[in-house]
Amino acid sequence: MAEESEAMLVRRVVNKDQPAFQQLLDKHLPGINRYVIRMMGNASNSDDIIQEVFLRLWTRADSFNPEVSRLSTWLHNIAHNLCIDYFRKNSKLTQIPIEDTIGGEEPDLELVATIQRQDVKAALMALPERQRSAIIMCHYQGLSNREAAEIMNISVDALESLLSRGRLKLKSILTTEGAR
Amino acid sequence: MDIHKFRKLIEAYGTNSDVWPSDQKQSALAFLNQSHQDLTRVSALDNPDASSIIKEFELLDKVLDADIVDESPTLKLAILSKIHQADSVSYENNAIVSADTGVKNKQPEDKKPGLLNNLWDWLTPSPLGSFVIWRPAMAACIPLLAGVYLGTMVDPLTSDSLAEWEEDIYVMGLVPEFEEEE
Repeated sequence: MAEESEAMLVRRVVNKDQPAFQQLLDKHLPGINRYVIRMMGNASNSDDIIQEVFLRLWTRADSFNPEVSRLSTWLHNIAHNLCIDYFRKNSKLTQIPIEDTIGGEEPDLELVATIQRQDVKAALMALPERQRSAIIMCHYQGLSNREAAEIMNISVDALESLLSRGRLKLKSILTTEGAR
Repeated sequence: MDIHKFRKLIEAYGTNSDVWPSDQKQSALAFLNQSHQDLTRVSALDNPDASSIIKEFELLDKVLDADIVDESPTLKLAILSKIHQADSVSYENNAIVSADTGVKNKQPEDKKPGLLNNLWDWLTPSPLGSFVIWRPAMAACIPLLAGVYLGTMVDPLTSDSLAEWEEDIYVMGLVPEFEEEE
């Protein structure tokens, strides 16, 4: 979908055009869903936040300026802020200590894959939320370093520092468990 | 680009050159002296130091890439339901339906009613028949009460004052009329 047509769709959403909203929803829901679930660590805490992101698209589409950013960046900005707000209100859920979940006999490949996904989720949740958000945005979401830095309201250098520290910690967690 | 900057690049962004910052990508690849066509995975390198850095982080990238997030099948419906609810609340609060076009029009934003509007609403009885008739009745009595009050403020005419008036009028009658000067 060309950027120009996306801006036109947003203008139609300002006028409460539901077909236009559904087109944008179809395009951006998978990406926002992946971001929020990886940030929150599970789907049950994520649904409300994801719904709120798109509710804000519906009710505040007039505040989106296509000359300033892409719609994807704007939506990720909303999602990031909602996740951070959630963690501030529920400070105990910011990080979850990594637990020893692997061990014992040689599992089959499918189980290895499942265990690896659980390991990745657990490892991501072991990071501070800012490192986690930076890694998710740059590694999974396809956002550029400038876009991610803008969303987090930090410099690119600060973003790269978060990425480096986060990835080094992930490496120590995941590659150690993967080597078992 | 040198080995330290290259390491910093890989530590932050990983081994996938697609996600490397555009301002560093070409110099990093040139540093590697890459000759392979496929630039998405840098694995065979002429620079042994760079090669070791790539190998150090390659496994991490593979594990991260293996992570999959499932999408909830009901999430889209939940979102559409939520915007319908938001519209319903908005409609009840603000919308009026045009009889001619059937288009919902928003009323102007609710403004704070002025003092006069508040007073008028308070004085006029509700068309639904609530018994507040005493309010307009009281408002109608206000001029009457004001008149009574003003009347008590004025001194009543006594016989002496009347006599003074009669004398003044008599004296005025004795003064010849002034003739126009020629």
